[in-house]
Order: sequence, then structure tokens, then C-alpha cells
Amino acid sequence: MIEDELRDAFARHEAQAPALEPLRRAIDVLAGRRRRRRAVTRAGAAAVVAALAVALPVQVWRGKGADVLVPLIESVAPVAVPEGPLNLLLLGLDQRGTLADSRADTIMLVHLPADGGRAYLFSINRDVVVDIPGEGRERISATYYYSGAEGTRKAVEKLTGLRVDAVATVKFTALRSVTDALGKVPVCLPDPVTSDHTGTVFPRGCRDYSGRDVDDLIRQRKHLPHGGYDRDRIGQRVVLGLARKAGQLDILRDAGAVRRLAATPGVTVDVGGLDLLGLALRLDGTTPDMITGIGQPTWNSTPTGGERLDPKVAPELFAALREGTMEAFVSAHPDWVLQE
Amino acid sequence: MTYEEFVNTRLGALARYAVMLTGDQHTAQDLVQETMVRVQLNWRRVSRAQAPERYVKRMMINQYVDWRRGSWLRRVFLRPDPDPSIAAPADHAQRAADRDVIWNVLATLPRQQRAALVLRYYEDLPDAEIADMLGCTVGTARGYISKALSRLRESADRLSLGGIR
Repeated sequence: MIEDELRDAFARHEAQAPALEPLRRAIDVLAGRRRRRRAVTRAGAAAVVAALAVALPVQVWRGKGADVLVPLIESVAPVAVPEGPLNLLLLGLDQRGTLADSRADTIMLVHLPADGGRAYLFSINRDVVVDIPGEGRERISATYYYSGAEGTRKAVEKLTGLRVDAVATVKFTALRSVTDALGKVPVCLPDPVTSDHTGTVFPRGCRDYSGRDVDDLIRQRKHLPHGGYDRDRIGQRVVLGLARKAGQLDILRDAGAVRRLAATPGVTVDVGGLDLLGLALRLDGTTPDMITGIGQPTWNSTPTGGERLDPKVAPELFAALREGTMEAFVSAHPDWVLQE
Repeated sequence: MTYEEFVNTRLGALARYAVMLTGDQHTAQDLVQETMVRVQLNWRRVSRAQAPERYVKRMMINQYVDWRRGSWLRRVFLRPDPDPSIAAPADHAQRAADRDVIWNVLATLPRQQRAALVLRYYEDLPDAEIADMLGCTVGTARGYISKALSRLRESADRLSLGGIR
């Protein structure tokens, strides 16, 4: 009978099974390699957390969210919570039409002091002129064009004298998807803004905005009283809104929402040697009202149309960031502080 | 059960099962390797399954059936499809060659059909479980098996009649 022959054929070929010990070693090696690679890519979810919203608030982790996020990251390594002050660089890339993302339009340094749950967002105007090795004096946004996120990281380190621990790049289109994944995001504007691109009027006060609105709002610059400086402040307000919204949603307990965030194309993160989960744990306890936006109030232009950092206040700011004395800086320079 | 315990007790059976599915040692090794890497990385989920071994065998079937669509083998190993004529073990004795007629014909079957035969005649599963493993209806699973058997009968007849002897 064909069935019996078939059983015989299967039984005879059992001897062909590959040797188990080498097989087992090969599995372990491959799995190890893939786990390391995945720790970087999977971290995307926590990255959106840590970078975009500073705090896709991690306060929801207290006791309840951690078991949602841990399987998501699927890291078996123990979580190392980084110590000391941390600086995360957030780059917003404007990619419109067919142009490759060539410029970092939004440059925001997220500073977490060594102690306490505070966080500071420092926006660097994209037109600030810096020395680019081999290229001469250029606007800082061009560093991305010359050497990618790494180039901008180096320029920011040189400019501020701070070590940058992690870099996240976010395409403006990704910001739109993230906003939609969260539902609408509350943004508070001190003055009305009219879009140059769509004619939409964004009124004074706090409103919930969709991804499309946020995408539109965050590009506005030309008709704002302080141009790019005002735009950077709007960027900070959007980040605060994201943090607030994420806190309301208890986002990390909603596995579906986390998965949608994790799948957002256009967000990449380089955390160097940091453990992202640990990084996010560091943000535990940072609530939106503990986040302070910092930025130069207005223009200080060079003759060629670039921007300069204030020669007196900027060094004070960088020293305060380095030395952990930001509270004193904030009370001494209210004009550099984002007013809620 | 820990991953270690699972590997200690089940890797041999999985390796044999892979040989039945793929028909040769190297492809079997690739199949087990790829599946077990995923098992290791997702052990939490696998161990939560009612019957982890069966869950893993099902992963293996999926992987094996998908291979035609180019999803894993081509991407991971960039190896050409195995040549059915070398699927038989290197045994030049005529009797062995005769006996391996059926093994060679197995290599010419569509993958779902071969998988269905392995599940019924190697794993001895009832039709309902075969259907479950293949992710199809019982009727479809039975269809795979009967088509595969009649093809085996035809080819085996033809090959042994017009064979080397």
C-alpha cells in the first residue's frame, strides 16, 4: 500500500536529521545577533515615547504600564537606568515634495537634570551659524545635509559644550501620524496663527488639533512676529501637548496605541549605548507641568542673514545645563522661558 | 517550561520533522534554525500556547509553505530551491534507490500537499488537526492528501516500471 510505503520512507529518513549540537549553537548565535539588532529597531516605540513627547508619560508606568512595554521591547537584558544628566537631541526633518530630507528644521535639545523629574527643552534656531568642518561657516540646519544626524549631533555638542547622549529624528509627516494615533492633541497658543499654506486660522488659547492641523501649524514661520523663533516655540508647545495627551490616555496601557506608535514610519533613534527602556524609566515622574521650554527670544542676525546665539545669555545657559543650575537660569531669564 | 527545557527535550523531534517537510538535511537545518530563532526571541508568547510543541510545529509549517513565496529562505539564505534529484541520500545500492522512489516523488509535490502527508503519516494527526495546522478547512486538507496520494501512486508506478532495471 502506498500509505505504508510512505510511513516507511518517513521512518527511514529520520536518520537524515541534522546534528543537534551544532544546530543548537547556530540557533543561539543567530538569535543573539537578531536580538541585538532588534533592540535598536523595536526601541522605536519607546523612542517615540522618549523623544517625541519627552514623556509619553512614563508616569503611567508606575506599577502598571511596565508589563505592557517590556514584552513590546522583548529585551531579556536587565534594564539599566542611565545615571547623571542626560541630553537627548530631537531633530525635526521637513521633507516636502520630492526633496530628500536634507535639512533639520527643528533642533531641540531635551535636557534631563541628574536629579528630580524636571525636563528642559532647548530649541536651537535652524539658522544659527556654526563651523562645519571642511565646509566653512554654515547654518546649523545644513549640518544634516552634509553628514546626517551625526553631523548635527557634533555641531550641537560643539556649540553647547554638552554631551549628546541620544539623537531622535522625526519627519514632520511622522509627527502627523503620531498625533493621529493619539487622537487629537491639545496645543495652547498665546496668539492666533494663520497658516500661509492652507489659510487655516489657529485661534488664541487651547484647542485639540488633529494630525493634519499640527503638521500645518508646526511649519508656520513667515508671518509670525519672531519668525523661526516663534515656530520653535510652537514646536515646544506641540511636544507639551503630546506629553499631556499621552498622560491622559494612559498610553502605555493601551497595547493597540503603542503598536500604532511603534509602527510610525519616519522616526529613527540612535541611543548609542543607552538602554531605551531605562531612558524611559528615567522619565518616570516627569509630568508635562515639569517640562520647561527654553529658547532665544528673538533675532540676533549676522550680516549674511544667519543667526547668532546671544553672546551673553547663551554661555550662561550652557553653563547652567552643564552644572545643573537650570532653575536659577529660568528665574534670571524669564524672556528665554516658554510662557504657558 | 523554559526555553532550555523545550530545546533539550524537543529539538531532535523538530529536526526530524523538518527533514520530513523539506526532504533534505541542509534545508531542514535552515528551517529549524530560522524557526527556533523566532521561538527563542518570542519564548514568552510560545510558552503561553496550550501546546508549545505543536505551536512551534505550526510555525515551521507556515515557514515552509511560505518559502515558495520567497519570504524566508530566499531572503535569508539566497539559496536556490533544492534539486529533487539530489534529495535522496547518497546510497548507490539499487535496492535503496528503488525504495527512495517514493521519497523523490514527495519532493515534486506542492508544499501544502507534502505538509498534509507529513502530518497524517508521520505525525499521525487526525484530519481536523491537520486542517488546523495548515490553516485550512478539513475538506481542503483531505483534498490535499487524496491528491498527493494519487500522484504518488501514479508516479511510483511509472518510475518503478520504466526504471533503471
